[in-house]
Amino acid sequence: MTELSQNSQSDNFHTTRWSLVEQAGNECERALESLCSSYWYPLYAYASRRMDRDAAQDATQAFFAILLEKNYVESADQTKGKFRAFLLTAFKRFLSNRRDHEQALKRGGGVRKLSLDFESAESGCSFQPADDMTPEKVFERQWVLTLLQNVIERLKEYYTQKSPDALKRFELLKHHMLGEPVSDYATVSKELGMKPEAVRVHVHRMRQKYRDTLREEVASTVDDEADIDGEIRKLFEILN
Amino acid sequence: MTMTEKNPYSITACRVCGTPPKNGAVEGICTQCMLMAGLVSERGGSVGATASMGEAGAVRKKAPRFKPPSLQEIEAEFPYLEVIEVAGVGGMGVVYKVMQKMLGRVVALKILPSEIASDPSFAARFSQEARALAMLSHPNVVHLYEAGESDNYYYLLMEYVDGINLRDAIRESNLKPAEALSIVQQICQALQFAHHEGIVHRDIKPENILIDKDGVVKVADFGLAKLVDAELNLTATQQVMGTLHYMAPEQVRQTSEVDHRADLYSLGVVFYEMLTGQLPLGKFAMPSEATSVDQRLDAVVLRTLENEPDQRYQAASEIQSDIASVAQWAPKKERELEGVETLSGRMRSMLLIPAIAMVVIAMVEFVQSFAWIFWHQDWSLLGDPFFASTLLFSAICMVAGWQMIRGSWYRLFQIVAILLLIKAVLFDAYFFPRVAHALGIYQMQGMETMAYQFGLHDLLNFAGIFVGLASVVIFYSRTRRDFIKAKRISRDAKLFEMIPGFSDQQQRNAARKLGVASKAMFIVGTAGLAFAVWSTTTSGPSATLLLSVIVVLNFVMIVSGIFLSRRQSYTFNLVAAWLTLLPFSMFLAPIGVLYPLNVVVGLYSLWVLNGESTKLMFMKKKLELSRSL
Repeated sequence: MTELSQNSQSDNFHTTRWSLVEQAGNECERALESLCSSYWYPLYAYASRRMDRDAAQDATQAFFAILLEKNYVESADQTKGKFRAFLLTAFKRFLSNRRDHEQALKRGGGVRKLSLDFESAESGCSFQPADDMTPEKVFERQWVLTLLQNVIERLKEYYTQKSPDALKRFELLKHHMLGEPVSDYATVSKELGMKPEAVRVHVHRMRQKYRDTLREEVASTVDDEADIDGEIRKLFEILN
Repeated sequence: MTMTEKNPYSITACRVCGTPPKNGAVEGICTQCMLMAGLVSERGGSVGATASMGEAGAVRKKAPRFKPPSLQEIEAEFPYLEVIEVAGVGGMGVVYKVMQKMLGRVVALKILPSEIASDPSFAARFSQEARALAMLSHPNVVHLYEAGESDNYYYLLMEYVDGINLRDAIRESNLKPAEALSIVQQICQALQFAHHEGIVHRDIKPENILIDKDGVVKVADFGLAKLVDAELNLTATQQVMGTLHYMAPEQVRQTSEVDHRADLYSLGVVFYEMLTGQLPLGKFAMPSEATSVDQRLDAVVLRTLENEPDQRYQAASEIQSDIASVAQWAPKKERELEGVETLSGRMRSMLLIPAIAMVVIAMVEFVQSFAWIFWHQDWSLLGDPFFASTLLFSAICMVAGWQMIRGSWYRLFQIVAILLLIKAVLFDAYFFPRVAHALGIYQMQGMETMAYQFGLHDLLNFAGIFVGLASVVIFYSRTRRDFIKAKRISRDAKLFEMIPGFSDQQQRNAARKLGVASKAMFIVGTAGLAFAVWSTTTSGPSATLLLSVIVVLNFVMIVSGIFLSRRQSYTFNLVAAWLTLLPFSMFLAPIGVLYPLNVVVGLYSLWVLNGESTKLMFMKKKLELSRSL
């Protein structure tokens, strides 16, 4: 993530990542790598549900090593659709053909490697799945969580770049931005040294920014911008 | 940093919906709520999770029929403007945030829907309306800088308001009643000004009310509805159904001419929505029932929402004035009424000992007096003025003391305590019996023995002095002044609660009665004065004291006549009315004939003054005065 944000075209890049994968060249590799580094964790959560932790880590690592070979994306998926669906299908296929892939790896595939920090990821963005939850459900729910976490990260970056004041405002107002009811702006406004009315305006703007960033983040995982609403609707269904 | 602090994902309850998150949480907010926050549509209310998912899509599809020109198009069409961003899209066109390159000033550029240009008569009406709007220069109205027709579009260049619209403010933060009142009052000021200039808004709704970073309210799109509506028939087609809810019934029916009172209805809807978060549809609940707002606002809201324009408030300034009264009084009232409670408690406990003492003294004196009668078997004593008044006073003391113990009738206790002090010091201890008896003013059997012995009587005197002194000291301390003030405030507040429901009809009636009382007081007072002057010239200065009393009385009547017409000094008028009833003039020959007239006028004035409407008239006047200061 941090690598990406240093990139000057990161915003535009974010929105188009998945559709970029189709194209050839460096741009495509970078897009896929960035997508994978943002969304590898749900896959690992899925794998952990099916096997023990060590095996899951190995499988995830191995899968991404293969996935980053562009050939794989092309061969594995003709009608690409959503990145979320693609990733899970490809992973399932990978697990069932695990042996073949392992052979391939040994033959020299997987030169590029995604560095996955399982330790810190597990302590962070995860939830406690109910016992009767299928691995697919775990994956989907973890997906939503990761996506939202990415949105917050990106907003944090955005406000960090803007100014220290903006970041402070963001930290103080983010819960209101996300819909926490406001009983009183007085305390926050005192802390920020501005009028309650101005705080209200900031919350409003932040919420708009959040909305836009969420849509952008969703857009980065679908290949057609028109699908954004459909994907968000789908995410809602997943949660229910 | 502990694990839980670092990990904001494991929480017990979501900060938005308050339920335990089933599917994890980010920043202490469950994933459902986070997705929801990303889904709130641009124009509608907040979008519910499942049922309204389709709605979210629908709102987007409802985008204006005409395609808003791109930023490049706008820059090409307006070379002197630098387009910053699209600020909003609505039924009335698109608004861009732009900068005037020459001035470096940020302004709002509104492009009207291109369909309207198809009507050849539009140009004339547009320029006519724009001229009127340009005249609207008011701090609460979005100022129009320029209007015109570019190559392809009709446009308006307006003041840019750095803030949010009321729709977002309602949705995103619960407006407190005090904020709602301030906002409505500012809208009232804008409307009052525009209506005075002859301009009706016709489309007052939360989207058109902007609040800047200083909390200043700016009403946008004055008169635009009339222009654009007629052209596109937006009410029937494009305009979101929501707008209909803000329209006055006569506006929806399009049966009668729509005037400024339609704006007041719309304002009522906005007001109701701000207070309750709901629209006043069907059999809607009173604002005070739906939420914890001041009950007195109900009447104000109801009156703006009357179906018949004639029954509504007739001017925005009236609404503002009524709200100002509530706003001014509501917090003050609560604080001070609280003061009354504690003060009356404190007064009561402080006065409890003097009150008990007063009852005891009075009872002893009462019993003693009767014992005297029984002892001497002299019933004629009852007819003796001094003896009788002592008995009567003891009785009054008992009542006043008893009521004080119960915590009421402070005023009576105060007066009686002073009288008791006077009586104890002057009459019992000094004049009576030492001086009175020595001077031969008063003769009573057995008095001599009592007077020169220290006995029960002296004890009672000392007790009386103590009670009187203590009461007077307590009453004239700061506590008492605060108490009286607080008491008056509580009474005023009670009266005041009725003001918003005070109809024009009631006001007219009260004004008429007050007019009659005022004239009657003035005329009879003047006549009395003339009679008095005339009687001195005819019968000489024989009855000087009586005459001067009568002159003063009549003078008071004349002043009361003036005060009544000005609705000033309620208490003075009340006292004046009572004084009018005093039969002094009966004892002076020529003026005596006026006395029956005095009684009639005095009683009438008392009757009028006792009416709730009259009290409200005085209250209103007082409030207006205090506001104008």
